[in-house]
Amino acid sequence: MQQEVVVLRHCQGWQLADIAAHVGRSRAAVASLLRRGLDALREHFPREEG
Amino acid sequence: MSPGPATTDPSPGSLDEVIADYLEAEDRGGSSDRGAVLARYPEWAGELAAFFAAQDRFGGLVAPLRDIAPRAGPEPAAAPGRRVGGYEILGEFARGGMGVIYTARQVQLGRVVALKMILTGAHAPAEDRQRFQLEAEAAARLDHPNIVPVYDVGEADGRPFYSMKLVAGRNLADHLGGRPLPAAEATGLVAAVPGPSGTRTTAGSCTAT
Repeated sequence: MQQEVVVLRHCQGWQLADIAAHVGRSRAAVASLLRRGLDALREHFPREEG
Repeated sequence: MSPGPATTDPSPGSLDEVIADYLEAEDRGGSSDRGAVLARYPEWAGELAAFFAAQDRFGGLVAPLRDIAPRAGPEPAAAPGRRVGGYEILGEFARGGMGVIYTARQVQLGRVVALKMILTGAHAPAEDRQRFQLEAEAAARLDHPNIVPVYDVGEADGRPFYSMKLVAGRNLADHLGGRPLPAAEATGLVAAVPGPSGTRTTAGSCTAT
């Protein structure tokens, strides 16, 4: 679900309230999924240059 | 879906409540004042700064995809019992970035199928509709033991759809149980999945079904 939330928010630009309704979680729970999803992705980000 | 820590709701006043407030401010438009958020919650300053940084970094990486992804919000699931073309909707089976798949009964033949429709329905941009149509036509031309056969391609009330054999199985999210997959394993998995035209899905398409 982390993955789904990150994709909906960042690839498709859904609003927080829409995502919360879609996955059936509270807005804070979605924020948590989003935060931890991005955190998990961070190690896969390309290194910043410079 | 997957049980575990991901399902616990954060307590009120938590970091995630603060982030939710920030995201909603973002949704209301205009720029949300990060400095003010950081100043107001010094106890979360480190976590918030990390979140903002990750958001910007990932947002920048996927920005090119946002132009091609459907932007509209979710369309409510078709209610069970509703008729679409010659099909009766039984329930929602799966949903992805671009499409939604229902289990449906093909009324004339009495068989249960998977019915895929474009997520944003009749309001979908022409480009999305065309992409969906091409996907349906390409899928219908394929004949391969690893590929689910397409039965029918059509349109009902301005919504393109196609039906295919219903295959029972677990979806990827259930399989992963919320854990990220090691990169090498993920690459192998994706390479094994044929794209709509029998080739790999292009990296830029960011769709989930």
